[in-house]
Amino acid sequence: MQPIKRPKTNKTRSSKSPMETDTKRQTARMSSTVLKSKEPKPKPIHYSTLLFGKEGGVDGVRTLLVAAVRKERATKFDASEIDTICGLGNETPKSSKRLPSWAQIEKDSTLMTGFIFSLVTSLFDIRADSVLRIPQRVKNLSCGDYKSIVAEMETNGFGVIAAAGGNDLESIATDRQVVPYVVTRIFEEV
Amino acid sequence: MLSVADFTMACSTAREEAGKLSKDLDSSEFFDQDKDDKSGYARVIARLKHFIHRTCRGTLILHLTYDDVPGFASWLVRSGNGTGGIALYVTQMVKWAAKTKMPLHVQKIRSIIHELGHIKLSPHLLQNTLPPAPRQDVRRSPYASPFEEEMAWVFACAFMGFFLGDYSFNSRKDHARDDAPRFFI
Repeated sequence: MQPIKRPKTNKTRSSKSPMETDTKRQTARMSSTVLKSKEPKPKPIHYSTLLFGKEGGVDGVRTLLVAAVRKERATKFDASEIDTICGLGNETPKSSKRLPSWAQIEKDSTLMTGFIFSLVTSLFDIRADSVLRIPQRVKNLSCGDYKSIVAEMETNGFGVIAAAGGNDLESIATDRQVVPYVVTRIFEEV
Repeated sequence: MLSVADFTMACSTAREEAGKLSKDLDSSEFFDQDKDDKSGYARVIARLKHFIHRTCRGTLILHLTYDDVPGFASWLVRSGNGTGGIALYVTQMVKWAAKTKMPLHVQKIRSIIHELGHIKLSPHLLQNTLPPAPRQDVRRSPYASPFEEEMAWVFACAFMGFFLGDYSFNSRKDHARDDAPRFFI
């Protein structure tokens, strides 16, 4: 009588935890799905163009930001004071790039960046989303454009509000994450 | 509860980061309340923004009015793999300032340093490791576990503690006084 041939199995037990093995399996499954899908990758969205196309895209955003700060500072601070407090111009702490001074930015709004705006809002109560009316602009988007933002967020895992502290906030509707995500992306583009 | 090893790790990371920041920002500036309140603290917040932008892959800190998740003051918002921004929900902070008299700038500084703690101690929060969505309209966010929250707050308190200790020593040396206890941190 011939011995029954058993299929070869890996008898050595893995030292890895079940969690780790599960994650590996999941990752493998996900990557095989990615390889199989032949759908073309959607183009990354340029948010300044999508929301501020009529106002000149990135340049339009910069102009709006400079105007908002100019209005706020006019009665309160000199341009040189802004430089000293926010670390613009010559006062910049050690960094790879020297930032322009506020006076230069007021003359030429193309020098404005998301980082400079972030620094200046340390001094003034100017909120990034209000000054650009992001919530209203997002509401006015066409259904297709809105869906493409949500799809980008969901496909790439972007815009996820993290560090919430506890699993009570484990699931937050994507709709609630769109505004902070769009604001962050616009300021990265500027 | 954190183990002693975790606590030590959070504190040593905070010490390292506070040491790096102290090259840009003198501790006497951090706690100088004799200056005009608004511009004095604005300088501290701006220096923190410089520091985080430089050391955390260009992370931006944005002040928002948006208040669609009430009861929370700050979030990490992921915008790329390993990158993102810190959103400060100023509307919520203003409500708390009115209710508890905790100054707005103190809340901002605390929240910024807390989120810095998350970036340094839980970098996975900004990386692409999304679990599947439980329902179609809701997706699972990578959230900080209670352990990670504790770590980030230990980081924030230790970070400010190092600055306060530095200030108290320098203040004694420069002005023959140690007024460290009078500061909000």
